[in-house]
Amino acid sequence: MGSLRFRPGVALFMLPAFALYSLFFIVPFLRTMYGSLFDWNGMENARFIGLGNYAQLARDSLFLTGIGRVALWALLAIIFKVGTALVLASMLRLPIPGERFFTGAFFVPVVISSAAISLMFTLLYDPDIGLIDVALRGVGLGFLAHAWLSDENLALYAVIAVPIWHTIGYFFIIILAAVRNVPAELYEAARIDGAGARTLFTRITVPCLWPVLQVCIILAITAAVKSFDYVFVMTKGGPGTATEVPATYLFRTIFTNLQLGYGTAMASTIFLIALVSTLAFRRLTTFRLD
Amino acid sequence: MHGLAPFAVGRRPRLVARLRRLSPLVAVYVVLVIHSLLTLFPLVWVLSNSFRKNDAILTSMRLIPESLQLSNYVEMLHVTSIPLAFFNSFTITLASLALLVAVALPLSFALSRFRFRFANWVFMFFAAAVLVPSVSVLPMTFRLFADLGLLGTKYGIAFVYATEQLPVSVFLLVTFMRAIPQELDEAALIDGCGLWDLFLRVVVPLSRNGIVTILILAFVAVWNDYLTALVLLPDQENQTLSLALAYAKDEYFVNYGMMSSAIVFAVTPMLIVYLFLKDRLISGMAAGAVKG
Repeated sequence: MGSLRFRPGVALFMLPAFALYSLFFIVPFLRTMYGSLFDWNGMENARFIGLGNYAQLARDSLFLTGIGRVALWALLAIIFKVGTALVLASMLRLPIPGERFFTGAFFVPVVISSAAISLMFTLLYDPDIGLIDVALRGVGLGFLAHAWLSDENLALYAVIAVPIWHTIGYFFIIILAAVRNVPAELYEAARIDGAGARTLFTRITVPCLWPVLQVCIILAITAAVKSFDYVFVMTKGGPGTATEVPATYLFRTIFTNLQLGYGTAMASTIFLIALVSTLAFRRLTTFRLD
Repeated sequence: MHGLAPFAVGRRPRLVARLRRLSPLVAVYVVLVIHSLLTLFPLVWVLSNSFRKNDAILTSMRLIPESLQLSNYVEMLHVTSIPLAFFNSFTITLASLALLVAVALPLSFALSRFRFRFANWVFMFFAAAVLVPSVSVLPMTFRLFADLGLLGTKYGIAFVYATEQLPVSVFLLVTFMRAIPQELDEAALIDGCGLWDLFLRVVVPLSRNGIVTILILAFVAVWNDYLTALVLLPDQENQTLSLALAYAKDEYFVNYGMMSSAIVFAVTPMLIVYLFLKDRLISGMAAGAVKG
């Protein structure tokens, strides 16, 4: 990495970080993996059951439904979050008047906490005073107004929409930086050859941006797999279990039901799903383009 | 009359061509403006409601309040735990950032300036945490806190925040420090300057920009965190802003005006930071994403 010769004193510079990271990441991480092999309620009487927790998890319909929900969450996030960000960024590829205003405005929600955003959307979704229902009634679409977060069929979609709204600006900024790095000659050459705006988008913008879009899609997938804040603040998994996702179920299993063994098995599974989907997506989509 | 005809004929296609050339731009502006409105409307609506009492909010929707009453704010500051939580968020964030810099800087210095066999392994070791969602580790961090007697303390969580931010910070700092010319170090060492001096007097001052970037990134992440605080700060007197907001929602939700004022109060510091550091914040967060 560097060019200076190593000497023992250098190890001292790594020691504090090593100690902190080992104690507060490696230790709890290994304990999670290890604990998932036990039937354990947090007290003394832990009983080794091998992969028993995982076998139970594979039959736990609430957990499996939760995985289905985050898969839907990831899919919608990729389409609407990455998609919208890509469209907005390619529109601002060339500087146009007002560009700084738009960039600034799109990024505003990104700096706000998920808790504040969730609270704000609980107000927005409110059937009595919420901006959404009031606006719908105002334009004569009152029949579309709903109690979004307490309707079993709509609550999940209402929740998923919030992180999409919240982080479009983040993805927009990442993609915008990449779009502006695409050599302008590519666009000019294609235009001289008679390519229209759509061709430019599908044949130049998207292929040139693919590595960055890959990163964005992976970020969207992992964010969905570990989604917790929005659900927990807005619905706590309800109504009933209509918005329960693996992370909120894990939280309840450990901190309410005190099933530490089963809960850590969930924690390990969430980690594995995030890891495998990241690696699989990268492998599959990189292979195809080479 | 006849004299006008060629003029009109000549002008018409030019106008059509101009419109055709302009219309994609018009479409672009329409999309950009609509998205800006969708982004800003909810925020303006909350800001407006924070100055209105419930009876006004229940009767009409307004993006500009009737008057600038501060009664919601006064009530929020008295009734809820948000002012205390604001103070807690501030001190906890400060402690976490100090700890982060104290451990990330020396590590990045060692990794970026010295040649040794295990450098890449060390790097990978510290990068591994990026792959693990914090929700997967936090229950056992909670147990660890109980074992170490850190549960119920206010600043114990700073260890975890610093750990969570360590991988990305080290990534960015190492990249940054590698760009500093290495000849400088050798010259300094030949002049009899010790490792510690090299670190503190040469590398750290030259990494100022990188340090500011990781501080901004970590500030946003720690200040906005909800989950880690939810698990590790069970005592109400240690609550951070995110926790207090969620708690206030469960207690006082139907007091819409006061809830709105709580949101505004909680997000204003971040928006001020954003206003002053917009470009730095945006480029820092973009870099953090691509590295992470």
